[in-house]
Amino acid sequence: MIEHGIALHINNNMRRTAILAALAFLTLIAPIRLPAAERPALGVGTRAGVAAAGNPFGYDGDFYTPKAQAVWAVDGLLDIPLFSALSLVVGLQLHGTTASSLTGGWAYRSHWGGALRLGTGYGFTVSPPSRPRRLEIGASAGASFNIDMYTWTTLYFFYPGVFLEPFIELHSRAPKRHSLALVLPLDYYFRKDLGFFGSIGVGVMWRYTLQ
Amino acid sequence: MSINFKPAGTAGRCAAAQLAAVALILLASCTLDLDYDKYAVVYGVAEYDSTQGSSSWPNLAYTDDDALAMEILLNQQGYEVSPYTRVDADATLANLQADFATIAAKASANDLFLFYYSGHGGQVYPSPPADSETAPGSDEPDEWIFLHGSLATTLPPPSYTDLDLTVSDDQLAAMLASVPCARKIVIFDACNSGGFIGNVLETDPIAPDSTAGSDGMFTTIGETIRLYVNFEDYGSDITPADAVVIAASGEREESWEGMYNHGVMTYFLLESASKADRNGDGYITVSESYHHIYKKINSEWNNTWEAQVIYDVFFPRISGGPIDYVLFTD
Repeated sequence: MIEHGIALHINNNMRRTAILAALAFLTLIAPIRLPAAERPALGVGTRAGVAAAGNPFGYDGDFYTPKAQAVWAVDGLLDIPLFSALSLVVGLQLHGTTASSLTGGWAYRSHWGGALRLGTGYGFTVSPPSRPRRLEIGASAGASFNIDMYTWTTLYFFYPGVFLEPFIELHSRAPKRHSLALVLPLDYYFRKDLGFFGSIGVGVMWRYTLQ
Repeated sequence: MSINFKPAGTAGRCAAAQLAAVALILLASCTLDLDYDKYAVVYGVAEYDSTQGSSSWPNLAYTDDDALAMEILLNQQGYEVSPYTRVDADATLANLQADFATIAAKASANDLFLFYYSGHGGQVYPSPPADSETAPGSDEPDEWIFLHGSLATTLPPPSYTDLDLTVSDDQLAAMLASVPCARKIVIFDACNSGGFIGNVLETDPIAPDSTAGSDGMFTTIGETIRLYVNFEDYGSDITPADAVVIAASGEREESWEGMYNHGVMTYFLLESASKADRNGDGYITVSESYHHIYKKINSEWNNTWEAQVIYDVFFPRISGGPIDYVLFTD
């Protein structure tokens, strides 16, 4: 019971921190000039980072300490402008998590799978209009729905999550259909077999605006 | 002026030696500290009724050899196993309980505990037969391993079985709970042994009887979501938090023996100690061993005409859960 209480405490703290960080980010960038609504865009990208797993449910919480796992993902997304600088983001992701270290003779298992990611994006142009290349900063946030398989097994499991992805994006010169974004993805997952599981990383994404 | 020639390749060999030394230091720094005691209880039953042999539960040929081979391997791997290795007439419930109690008294939370069993396994249905354990809220029928004395023609028909002389999935889970080790591994080479596994968050597309086929992608996705939504706590059987289990066959499958004078699953389990290091880190985890067993049973047993026509195909199963353990060191 004590371990479970600690898990809930950590979850709530992390959720609160994530929400506050998102609000602070949006407050900071709000005064920046908004661009006109654009056309839908397709994007592909890749990312890598590190995850932290801990507090496995039902296990001896003192023995199974938190450990780090490497994460990677390949993303495809459709970015649909809604109004002003806001857009709907629909993404499909192929991702993987490596096993943690075997320190102590045990590890958090490796798993890989796919995800449906739904969210909203919010971007602002920060470069002067005279510049041929437009520079944009923003963030997307939303929910992910993940189906993974433990590596070397035939066992599948589901877990949802939330994400916040600040980005800085450089658009090409006219006709301005290509752009390249640097993304800093933050993911937190609600796994029922782990007290906490979240990741932070860095990625790049190429976007192509449809005509 | 004289020129001193170094023998060709000396400089290269020096650099190579330095590199090797650095690599060795790095390798040594990567070596894990597996400084804990490892206990293994290994049981194999081939002779169930030495005088007659039950018609419904025939004696087996190699399950005692399986246990003895596992004893040798686990000894080499640093497990304390010999005092707890028992075959045939010694592999009784009383001895099993005593061995568990002995280890429970001397082991600590930091140690590793392994239980291996090779012999008959089966399902015992209540009357009338109930749904599979995969049905929500159902834990029927129970699976059993049959220790010596629990199957014999001298026992009352029609089952010729005395369940008071052996253990079920739930009873074994309770015995495991008495062992204080945080790391526990259970390996069964027995029919229906997949039913010992209490996965409640993971779904296996392979049906409990693999001849019934596999679930499709959407069924599997739907099932994983259903399990997630309905999860409140681990249920019965041996849950991932109790132990990581490798089972030779599905809940409704038979497992077979005869390959290379061992149980099919045990043969590949023994082989996995030297051939299953998938990521080359020098350690073989339970998942890596399972993967080797799964792959080999599928390619070297299930794909043979004998398995498909005379015997039956089967697939090993493994526990879910987020934790994996080092089983062997390569």
